[in-house]
Amino acid sequence: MTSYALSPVDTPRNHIDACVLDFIAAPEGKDFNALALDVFAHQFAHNLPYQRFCLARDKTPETVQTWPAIPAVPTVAFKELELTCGPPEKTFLTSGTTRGQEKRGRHLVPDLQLYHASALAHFSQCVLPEKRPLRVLSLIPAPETQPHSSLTQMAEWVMRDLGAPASRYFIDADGLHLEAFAEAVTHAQETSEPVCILAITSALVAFFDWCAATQTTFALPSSSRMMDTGGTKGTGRPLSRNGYLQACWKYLKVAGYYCVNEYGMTEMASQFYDHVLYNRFRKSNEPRYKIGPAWTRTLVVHPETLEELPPGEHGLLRHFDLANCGSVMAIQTDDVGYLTGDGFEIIGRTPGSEARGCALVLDEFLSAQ
Amino acid sequence: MPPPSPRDLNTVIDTLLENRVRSLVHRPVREILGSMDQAMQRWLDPDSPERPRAEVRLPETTGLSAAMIRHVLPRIFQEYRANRLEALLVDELGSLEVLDRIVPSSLGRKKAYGPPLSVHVLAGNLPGAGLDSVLFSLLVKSATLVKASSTEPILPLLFARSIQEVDSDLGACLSVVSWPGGRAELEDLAFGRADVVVASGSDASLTAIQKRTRKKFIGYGHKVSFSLVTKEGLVDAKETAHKTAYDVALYDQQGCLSPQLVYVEEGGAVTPKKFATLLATGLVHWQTELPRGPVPPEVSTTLRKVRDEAEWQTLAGKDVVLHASPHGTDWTVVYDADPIFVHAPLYRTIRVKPLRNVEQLREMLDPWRPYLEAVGVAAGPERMATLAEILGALGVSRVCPIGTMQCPPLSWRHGGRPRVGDLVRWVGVEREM
Repeated sequence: MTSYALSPVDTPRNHIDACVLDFIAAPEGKDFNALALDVFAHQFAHNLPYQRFCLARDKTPETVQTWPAIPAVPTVAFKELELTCGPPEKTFLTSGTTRGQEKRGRHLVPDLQLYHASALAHFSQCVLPEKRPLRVLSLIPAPETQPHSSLTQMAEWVMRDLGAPASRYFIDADGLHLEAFAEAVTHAQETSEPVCILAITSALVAFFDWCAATQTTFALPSSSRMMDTGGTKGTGRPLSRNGYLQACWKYLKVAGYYCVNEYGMTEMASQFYDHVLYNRFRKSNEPRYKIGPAWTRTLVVHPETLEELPPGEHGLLRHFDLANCGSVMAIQTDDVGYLTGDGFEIIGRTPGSEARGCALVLDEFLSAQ
Repeated sequence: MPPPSPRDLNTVIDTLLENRVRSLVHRPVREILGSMDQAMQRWLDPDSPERPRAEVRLPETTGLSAAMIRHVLPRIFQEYRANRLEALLVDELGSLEVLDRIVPSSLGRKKAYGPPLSVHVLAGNLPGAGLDSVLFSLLVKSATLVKASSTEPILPLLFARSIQEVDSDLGACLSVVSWPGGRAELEDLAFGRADVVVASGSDASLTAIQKRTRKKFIGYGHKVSFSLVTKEGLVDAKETAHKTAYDVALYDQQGCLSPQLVYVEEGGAVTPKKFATLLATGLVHWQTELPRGPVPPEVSTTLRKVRDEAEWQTLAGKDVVLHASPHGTDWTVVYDADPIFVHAPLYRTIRVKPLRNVEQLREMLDPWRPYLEAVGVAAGPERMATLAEILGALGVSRVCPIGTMQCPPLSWRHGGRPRVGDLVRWVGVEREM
């Protein structure tokens, strides 16, 4: 077991970053708890608003002994403050709401290397377990359209470092290019070269609608796969996960075990994926749920008491991500889910609460404006 | 209670209309008032058959705590006594007798007629809300069909039963039904046959109901109320805060009369920031006396977000102070120096904001004009009149002392409109010159 004998304060940023990079490169046999406590000590020392947040809860590197006790920062905090341990190499912004009134969250990342290493390692494991480069067709917006999107950053790295040549984007400043995408799919079909589709779910739904309207279906070569993220909410046509998987088969002939849903957030350097393809590669037959990489942990807490819930019980997801070393590693989300197997499943984002009485609630007011 | 079939519902309405003609239309209004008073008396008596049943069932159907239900039940019904009902009828119609016969008035002779059939749609689970309209409807001799909320039909049912018990003729003109919202055939039938539909609910549900209504529609949409503490109200700041906390705690802040924000005028005996501390102390007290009911997980999450946001704004150096119940989300007070009006996620979560002077209210409340309902005011008698002028002009329908916001008098003109006057039509009889 590797020892991380670091002093609790004044750890040089590049040293702790190096430890995390080392963990990501070869996680087997490494001690998550020990490194998590070191990362916490580092963040406590260098991220001063976070330090004040911890002190208000009497949590310090001296009192915190295990990773679940590390104070988790709610995502709303990223809208109020720059939560970073040092000057950022890059800043990612959460997507603005359609109403455009809400403040956008900012994730300042001092060292992009960690993000790069974490994102690609887990993507590779869950989406490209065979380690064979595939041509990437991206229905994730191109960097010039979304320069501050962490998702776009990831797509960019996947295309550059894991993809085969001629990978490209089909969403740019001019919008979504469905016909060009259809041509690329046709090309793959004709050349029998499998592809990897990266997509925001809503763009795929638009493509399925286009297929239905034009009565077109495709048959992608076997081993073609798709990673989608974001869900179908707000597309005007909510689609269940099963409905989505059926559409993938109907229009593209991509089987369910090649359809991997991603769950990630701007505030986190690591992502979670359905482990269906990973399992197929390992010849395991577990039901579909999300897994995180070895340098993350997820807890589910009760929304009223914030106490940890046992597997199966629904509550709010709380993530711990060592790759967030440069900002905050413990993140409290509003996402509802439950623990299962060695991962979790997400049910959805907390909807606006509906009041029981006759007092006006915010959504009504905004929709009336 | 199971939803009726369309055929059953038609029969219920037919029977109500027959009973009205047989035993209500020619009945003197004073007799109706007398029976109502007896029925309301039962609700004020803890040993009556209705009270214990309501006390047992309502915590489950409303989500309010048992202590809260015990506290509010007598407060709901004490307003519905004969003397108050009579005073309201006289105020709005001129006399009681206009409902019985053609009577002379200073400008000729006249009589008021109630609608043959009124349908009352009671929204949500705020116990008691809308029952006043049901009484007014019977007083104007209207056959009265109540569509109770499918989650909370208990209080309307027990209420109807109490009237039935004391006066079976009157009780036969009132019926309570319920079905889950959106049952088109039932709604078309009930709202289509009604001469008047009185409904409360969200703007969206009111629009849906109004579409199915053929004749008169009276809608009470969701509203926003707030508290206003002036310098004069800060002389005894502790007492004012205690009363404000009561307004916030009552019905777990679910009512359209519950304050969603507290404005505190600067320059008084204590600062607005200090007032927020006192308000938190008040909420601790009411949490012991009248605990908040359990809340669904999505509400907990929303309340936590308000707390998280406040805490991080403080950490970001903003002039924001969070006071929060130590466990769970029972109550939350956020002092925020930014005076912009923001409404609350309810369930005893309230912001305290400073006000330079009351004139600033006009600027802050302008976007909210269509939604304003009540303002609980702590001020000396001298300033009350000036304040009422400002608030009335902003569209507020009720200005009341702090600590009474959720206990409106029967005379309150809900939504700024007459209550009984809205239900009747008139005949004027002119003399030959």
